[in-house]
Amino acid sequence: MGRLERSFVIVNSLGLHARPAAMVVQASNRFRCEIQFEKDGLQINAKSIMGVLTLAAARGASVLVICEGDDAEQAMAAIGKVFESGFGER
Amino acid sequence: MGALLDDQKFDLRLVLVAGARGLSRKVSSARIQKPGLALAGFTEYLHRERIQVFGNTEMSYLKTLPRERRLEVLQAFFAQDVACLVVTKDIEIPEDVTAAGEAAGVPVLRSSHLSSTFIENIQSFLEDQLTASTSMHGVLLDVLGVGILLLGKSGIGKSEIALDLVMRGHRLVADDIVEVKRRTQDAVVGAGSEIIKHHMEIRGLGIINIKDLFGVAAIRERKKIEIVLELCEWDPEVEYDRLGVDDRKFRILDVEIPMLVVPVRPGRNMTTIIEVAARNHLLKLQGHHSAREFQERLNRAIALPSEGGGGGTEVE
Repeated sequence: MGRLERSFVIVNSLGLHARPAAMVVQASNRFRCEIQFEKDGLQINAKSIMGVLTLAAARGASVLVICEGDDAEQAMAAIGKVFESGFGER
Repeated sequence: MGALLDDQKFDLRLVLVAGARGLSRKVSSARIQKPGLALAGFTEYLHRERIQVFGNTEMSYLKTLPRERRLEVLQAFFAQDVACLVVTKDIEIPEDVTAAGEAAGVPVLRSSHLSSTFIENIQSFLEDQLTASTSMHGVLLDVLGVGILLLGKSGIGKSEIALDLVMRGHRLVADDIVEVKRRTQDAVVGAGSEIIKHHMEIRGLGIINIKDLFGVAAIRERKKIEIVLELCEWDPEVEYDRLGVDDRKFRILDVEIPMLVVPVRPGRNMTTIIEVAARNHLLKLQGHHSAREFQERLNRAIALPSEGGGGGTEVE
């Protein structure tokens, strides 16, 4: 059982809007571990789209990703990739 | 402090007059203070963490003072490092007051309400802002007037069950993120988050708006949480409650709430089970505990085996 924490900054201009949220949630759902996102004291389940949307993270906002479970490492890598790519947007 | 000015819900009608640089100050007490005597020099009981309210009395008193004395009094007042000062009834605030507030970096605000109305509103506002709160992953519904919080892993079908309950005429409070606040010592109230309010995500359908689809009667802004119902996958190794005699509790913000753990399995109609759980809760509120009453009945029957000849016949 591992627990990993890493911060990511939203880089695309539109922020974490609906489509990117769906991308992140899909990435999260491929793993068994518990994944939480945290922003401004609000912690949500990264496997649910409504939760991710609630963050309303704009460009420049920092989101803390917490993975806990067997495949935490792989999950963090996959989610990190999605964040760092700016959700395939500019 | 900033939240005071932004508020819409509690109708505070506040305008900032001076001391903007003190807006980051924190009010940590839900009580307010009418300084009264503090203006006469008795500043010992002045509470810096409270909002100070000047009404007609304070303002008129200040007016009666010679200017020199007035400045002295105001300086002593602001030197106590109070959180902020609110003048009510839209009374014109003299230059002396605003200058002293500005110098001390204490926000001076004005409200058009009468002192009594303002105090009432600000108190509700402060209680709302200062109470313990948290957010939870789950779905909150009003089922027959009972607030039921559904918990369980992502993908277990919470939203689908909630949708089914809405179809049956029950009301959705929040899907997925439930913002929970403690209202009184033993009550917690849940509401939806501002952004996703009244929306739900159903796999395969996407995001749907419950209010538009089912009307206003299908939703509710907030509801006291009365039952926590955890959905879990059916595990043959786990023993589920078969009697319901012992009441389990779930703690949210230090408040104990009755809890049920219900296994999900194809063929178990979860909507019906949840509706019955709500009915059973209502019965308990009325003083009827089905499981315990049944147990007592059984115990009586066992204790009186020979009477009536039939073994378990009711004696009453």
